Amino acid sequence: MIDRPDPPALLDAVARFLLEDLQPQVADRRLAFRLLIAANLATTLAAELRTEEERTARELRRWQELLPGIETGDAARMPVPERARAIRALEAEMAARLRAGRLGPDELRRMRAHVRQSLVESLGFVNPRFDTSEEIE
Amino acid sequence: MAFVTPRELQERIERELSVRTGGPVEVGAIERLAGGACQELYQVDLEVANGEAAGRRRMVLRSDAVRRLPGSLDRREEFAVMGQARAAAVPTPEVRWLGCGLVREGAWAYFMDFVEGESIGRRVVKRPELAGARLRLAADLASALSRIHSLSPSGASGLALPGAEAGKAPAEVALEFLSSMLGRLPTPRPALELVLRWLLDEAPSREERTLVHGDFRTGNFMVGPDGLLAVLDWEFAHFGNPMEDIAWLCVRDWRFGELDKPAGGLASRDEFYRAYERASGRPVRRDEVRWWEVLGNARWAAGSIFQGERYLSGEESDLELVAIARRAVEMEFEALRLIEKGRP
Repeated sequence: MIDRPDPPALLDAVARFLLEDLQPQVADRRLAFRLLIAANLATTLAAELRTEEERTARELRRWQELLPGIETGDAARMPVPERARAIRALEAEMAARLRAGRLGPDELRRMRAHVRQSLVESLGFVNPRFDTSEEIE
Repeated sequence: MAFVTPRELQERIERELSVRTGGPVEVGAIERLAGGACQELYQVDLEVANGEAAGRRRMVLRSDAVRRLPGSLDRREEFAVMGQARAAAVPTPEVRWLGCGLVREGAWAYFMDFVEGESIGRRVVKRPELAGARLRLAADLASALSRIHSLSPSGASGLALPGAEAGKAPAEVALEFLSSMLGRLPTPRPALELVLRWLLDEAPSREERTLVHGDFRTGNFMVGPDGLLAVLDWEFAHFGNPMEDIAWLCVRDWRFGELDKPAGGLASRDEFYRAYERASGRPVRRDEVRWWEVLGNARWAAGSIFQGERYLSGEESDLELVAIARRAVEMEFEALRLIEKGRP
């Protein structure tokens, strides 16, 4: 198994090359901006991969607490792709209950809090500078 | 599809405008500008011999593009709205010479006075040279918006725009639109499903109906050192709830990093709301603004995902489109934050 350099390290190297070696050579502003976007996407993916294992385990456990009684397996013992499938199945279940109008105000509030937590965790790599505090007007 | 060459376009414009103005028209430089998804723009320098537009002038030619975004107007409808807006003293460029087929067969196009200024959102909220303008912009925008909202479906003579027909409430129309957008998403988004549920449960009743600009936000205004020069980009104009425009201006993404200035990255909510109330005589209904702001975030989240789809489907190859789609989580978070915050 080839695991060194691992995928996040490779993506970071790509981002560094784009920013430090290539961007200073590019005069075209449109192209320079897209180089910045490309570097940013690579950095984002590196962070996403580094946190994937723990993040998806947490997310699946939260879903399982919200929708008990649906057999999706033990989050801790599942490989990541299987976990992602389980999360999608639980999301679909929530969507079905939502459309059928089967969720009360308290359940809706708990669902929103859970989904928001997942978004906060995604924002940690999609845009680490995004302010997730409540105090914004 | 091949674009018309500058040379061909120059000849066509000279021919067409000579007929329209009853005298010779010469075209100097033509430059294609970055358009939107539903229009093509050209900057055109003209020398007109006859008529009220006589003289040398720089204009912008706006033509329908091949594709059209759902819910957007074509150039003929946009021309009509801008004419009425100008008549109601909204600062917006003067428009003339509407016609069909100038740039492409079947495509409506018109000319608009070129307005020199800054419209790039990030620069409008940050450039030191515009610090003076920013002190005035809240009042200028409130005044422009109150004039737009002074036009009602019955008063605006014969504007055939979406939302003109009585019967359906603006919130209901917007919810149907959002719901159909969510139905077309490649994969369901739990956050947007939850937001849609909340919007359905909390929809305002008894809404007022006026002309609504539909894309009234920083980035769509031309600004000069003395303040607002022109309101641009009318392709989403419709009849609806005037609070929709106020809410859209406050949507987080249009603050361009100036988070503590919710009104377009330019002013506090209180300052902008008070200026609007003074100018329009209409109270700002904060609960409705909050509802429309949640809706605006959800619609922009879905819209940004569709931008990514334009890349993923192979239709376009601009890397920026996929990056925008990744940012949908920001708008989803913001919609949920506003819901939980419980007050506007």
